[in-house]
Amino acid sequence: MVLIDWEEETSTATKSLTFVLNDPPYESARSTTALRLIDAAIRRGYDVNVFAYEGAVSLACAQQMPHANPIHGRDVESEDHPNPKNWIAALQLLARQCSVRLDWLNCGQCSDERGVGEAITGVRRGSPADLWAFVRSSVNTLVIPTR
Amino acid sequence: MAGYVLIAARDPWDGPEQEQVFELAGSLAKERDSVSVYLTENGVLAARAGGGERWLAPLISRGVSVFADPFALAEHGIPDDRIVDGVVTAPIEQLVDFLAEGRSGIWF
Repeated sequence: MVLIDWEEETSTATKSLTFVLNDPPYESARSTTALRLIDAAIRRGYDVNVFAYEGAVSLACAQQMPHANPIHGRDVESEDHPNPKNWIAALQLLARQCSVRLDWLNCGQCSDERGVGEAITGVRRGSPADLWAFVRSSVNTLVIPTR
Repeated sequence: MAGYVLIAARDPWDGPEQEQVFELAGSLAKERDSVSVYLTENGVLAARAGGGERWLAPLISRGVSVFADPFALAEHGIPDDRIVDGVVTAPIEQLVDFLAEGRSGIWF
């Protein structure tokens, strides 16, 4: 496990991009594409803001658990079930390595409604007012909607 | 205005609603706006040669730049040599660059 000191977070980026996510995990390709976009933006040297709305607040839920697959006779290790919270943690680490900032914010009300208020370290909760601040500080904002 | 990038992520054969992205791209191009279309996810099905020309050929002839996500092409088993003439494969970094330029991004 990699422990990150969030107090020392720094960025050398001159531009930031904001992505608004709406889809829950395990539902469609949107979430995967969104994470690919965020990965690319970080590697390009941009600060990245993420506002997770509606079902997307579950992407960073700390209580996600890998599971076995008894139908195919695989245990937890061999199933190697992916959890998006780990991919988000990997993006957080990548941002640190690239000296840019990844600010992932979950809509607080959406989290409460769904009972997924416990997110991984480094993910904040907020409101649409924070999204507005993200938009104002970014060179661009892309909304990735649900179907 | 830095122009538009329209992201087509749905199967265009999935109904008339899925064609709106191409209609909007055509309309914007007609108004001489700078327009690019980025095909990803099921949207790359429009890039298949022998089927997708109905949507993409008119756009390309009007000057719309059409890009296809190689990750999505591979997922759908569409080789580079079987895509519509004029469609350019471009990794998702291309989409990041468009956004960083300030293009208005609209996801379909």
